[in-house]
Amino acid sequence: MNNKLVLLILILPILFTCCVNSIGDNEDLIADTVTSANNLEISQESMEELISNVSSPIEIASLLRNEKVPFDRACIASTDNIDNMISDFDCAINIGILGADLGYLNIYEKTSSVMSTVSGINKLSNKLKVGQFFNFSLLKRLATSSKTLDSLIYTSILSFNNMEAYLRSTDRTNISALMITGVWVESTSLATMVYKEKPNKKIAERIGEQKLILNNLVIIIDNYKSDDRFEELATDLHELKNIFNEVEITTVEGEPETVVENGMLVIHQTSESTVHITDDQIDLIALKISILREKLINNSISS
Amino acid sequence: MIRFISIIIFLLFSTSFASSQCNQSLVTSCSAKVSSSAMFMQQYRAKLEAQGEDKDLPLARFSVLLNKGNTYKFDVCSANDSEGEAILQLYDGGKLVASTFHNASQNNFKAFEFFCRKSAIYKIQISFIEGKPGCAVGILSMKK
Repeated sequence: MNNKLVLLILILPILFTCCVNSIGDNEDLIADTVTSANNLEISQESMEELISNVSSPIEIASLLRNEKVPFDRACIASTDNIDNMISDFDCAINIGILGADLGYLNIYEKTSSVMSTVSGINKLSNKLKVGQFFNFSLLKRLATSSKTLDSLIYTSILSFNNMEAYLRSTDRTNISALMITGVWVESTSLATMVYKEKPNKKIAERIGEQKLILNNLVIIIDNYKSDDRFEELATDLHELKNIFNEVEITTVEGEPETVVENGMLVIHQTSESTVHITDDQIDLIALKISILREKLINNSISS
Repeated sequence: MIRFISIIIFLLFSTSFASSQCNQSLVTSCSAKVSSSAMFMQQYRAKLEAQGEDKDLPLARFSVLLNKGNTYKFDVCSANDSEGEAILQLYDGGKLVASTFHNASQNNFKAFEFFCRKSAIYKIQISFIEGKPGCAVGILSMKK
């Protein structure tokens, strides 16, 4: 009896530790370079790498604010059609679109308008069964004050990152791909709408630089072309790519300069890129992206 | 005998709590380094095994699009229980552009600022000094 008791006492903590560790493993850091094979023409690892290359929606919004472009509510996507979105395709694309709008609203500190967009994201993410990544009550609380703006931005981005990582880990990279496409379409649309009202060299360059992202986006979406809706989206993106192919980006290479300033390591890059883009090209891009955006928001890419 | 069992139980629990350092709390604590003059943009997580004999240095690799005209900051935080100390490096193609490890001083800084003048897709690489096993988080932020 004593021996059995001793054995039990020894085994119990081991079992408990296993459970704690397995719970911890779910929270434990998983390197984002997870590789797993699937039936895609491009490897899972390459897909994940391509997906991570889409720039953050707050960068374009931040540029607009720094260039003193006034906030324009007309640039935000309507959430009127959210309840009509049923398919994973529509929900995922529009999470991306609303995610970009959320970045725009956050940067311009339009905290009172954030809730409508967050609510839309919440509905769509629940339909996709990824709603657990958005702490709606926390976001609502943070959105009530401009003093918690940094926390709101941080929480919003982290929520998207964690959701996206989850989708990749559960072999739903196609959903992830649609989300980042939505982000890109909305961010580019925002930049072109603003440029129309207030032409600005830096904004023009940023529009031209979208070429870098689009090249990867096309590869990503092409990979899922066996699905009719992806095929139609791919066709639209290729048409945009044909326009962007005429945009030239030249680079002068140089060696980076590293200094220590006030205890901080600072790297000054001497390589420099220059975007050569015309107003006609921007007009064409603006038109194409506007048409595509309307199709995606009104879920009129046919199934 | 009971004392022996108690020690075993204590050690087992200690191990499980120590390993819990390598989790979301590391992301949270590292993100706190983002100053009020910057915006959090992305997190990069790396958990690597020790470098095996005659094997390449284990690396965690990521890609990121950085835009001309922006000043970025990269912070790297090693977990408390990480045996290895993390180094974060930034590559443009195959060229090393920036590293937390400063060759001139042989110091491994915890962060660097990067004044970007070339819009491109860069590679981020996290490794651990001397190929030791480790857990770390890299945080990318952008100056407002």
